[in-house]
Amino acid sequence: MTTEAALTKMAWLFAEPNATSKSVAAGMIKSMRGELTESSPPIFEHPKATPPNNATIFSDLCYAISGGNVEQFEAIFDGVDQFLLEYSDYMGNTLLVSFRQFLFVVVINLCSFSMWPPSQHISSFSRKSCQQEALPICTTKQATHLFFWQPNWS
Amino acid sequence: MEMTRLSQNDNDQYQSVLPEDLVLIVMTGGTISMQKSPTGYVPATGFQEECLTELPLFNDGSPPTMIDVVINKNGDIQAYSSLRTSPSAYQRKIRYTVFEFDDLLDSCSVGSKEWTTIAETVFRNYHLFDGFVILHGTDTLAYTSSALSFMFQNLGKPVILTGAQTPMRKLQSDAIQNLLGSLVIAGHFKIPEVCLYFNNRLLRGNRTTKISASDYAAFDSPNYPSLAITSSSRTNVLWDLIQLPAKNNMISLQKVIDTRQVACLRLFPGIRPEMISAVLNLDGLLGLVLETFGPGSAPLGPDGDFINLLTHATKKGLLIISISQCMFLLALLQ
Repeated sequence: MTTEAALTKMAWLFAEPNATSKSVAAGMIKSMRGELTESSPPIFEHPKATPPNNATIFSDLCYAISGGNVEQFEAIFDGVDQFLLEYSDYMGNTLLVSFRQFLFVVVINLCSFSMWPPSQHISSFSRKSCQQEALPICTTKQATHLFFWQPNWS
Repeated sequence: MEMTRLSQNDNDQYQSVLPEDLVLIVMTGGTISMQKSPTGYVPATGFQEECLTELPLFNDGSPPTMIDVVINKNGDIQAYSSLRTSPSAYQRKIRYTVFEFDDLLDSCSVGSKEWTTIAETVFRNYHLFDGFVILHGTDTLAYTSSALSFMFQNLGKPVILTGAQTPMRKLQSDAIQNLLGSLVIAGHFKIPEVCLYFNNRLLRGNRTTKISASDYAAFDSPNYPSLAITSSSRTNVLWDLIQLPAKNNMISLQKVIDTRQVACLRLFPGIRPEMISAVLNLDGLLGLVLETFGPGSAPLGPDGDFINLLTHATKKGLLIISISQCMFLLALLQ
């Protein structure tokens, strides 16, 4: 900062109504008209900004799926946009990938079909292949199914 | 608020379809306006009539239309005769008029009162012109441009300060180049900052300092690049550096009331504690700018007198800012 800028800026800050030493000091270290290059050490912390709404809903859904919590999943999923089915986070996790163990069973069973089965076959098939207590199957408006059942390899 | 307008005069035989921009030149005094006299160079009035009318660069020969200028705080409007430049490289012309202060000053005598007068003149005419050029002496030009940059809040039009190392009336002078360059920038580009134009460079007003008393390159902004450079083909404006207003608020003015509340002291090896305490004990002093050697480094003095004096003063409420004499660092003494 040049001496001219420092002197005139200080005089200007003191001329503000209700100026105190503290307020002027705070103003002097801040760049108000580009007269100063502010410098600060690097800050190693997460940004304070809250993540967007979709990201938090997505995280909640993923945790519900990994925990096998159907009620929680349904409660969150009912009111949200369907694009979340195609959404993936920074690690590449999606709602389908997050319950890989279930998908494994689905893939093996689906292989017995020669082509990707239409949705009604999946529903009847899944009900048949449920060995244990079948959990409700969520159906979406786009006719994409998410499967919830206990893994039947036990 | 029009940025450009076409030539209005129907009788103008030089009626052109080139757009015109309106710039107010505020003449406060300084070397640029001086004239030789038996006692040496003295400020002289009649700048527009004697210096600009005869030059084709500044006068394309079109009939001088009258422009309204607000001349005092009462809002009184007076019509001033205007001149128009020849076409610029951008195929535009700048129409301007020179508003001279009643008392033309050598800039050594310029203080907060004059800063306020200049700021108020610009503020009163803000809506009548597209840009403003302020002619000023070079001695305290950096102080005036720094002060003005703080005083204007939400500035939306260019305010360019300039001057010259030799008078315009003299044979060899940088006055024409500086004035023309300032007019072109003020009339063509929306650079909403208080700037200083000298030697083909546009500098940010609050980043400048005078580096030479005789060189045509009299000013520099050592810690910041130029905002624009006038080259042979065009004026290169570095738009990335220009501070554009973030909000669309009306311009306002906050004056620097009293520079007696602040002082500046430049340290040197062997400075006596008595000298420092004399400055620190000045009546009514609220803030001190201390030019230290490096980043906050200063002599300890015998028995640490120096540090004790400063500590005592800050405890009493005085604000001390340390500026490096290298002009590279700002530190707050607490």
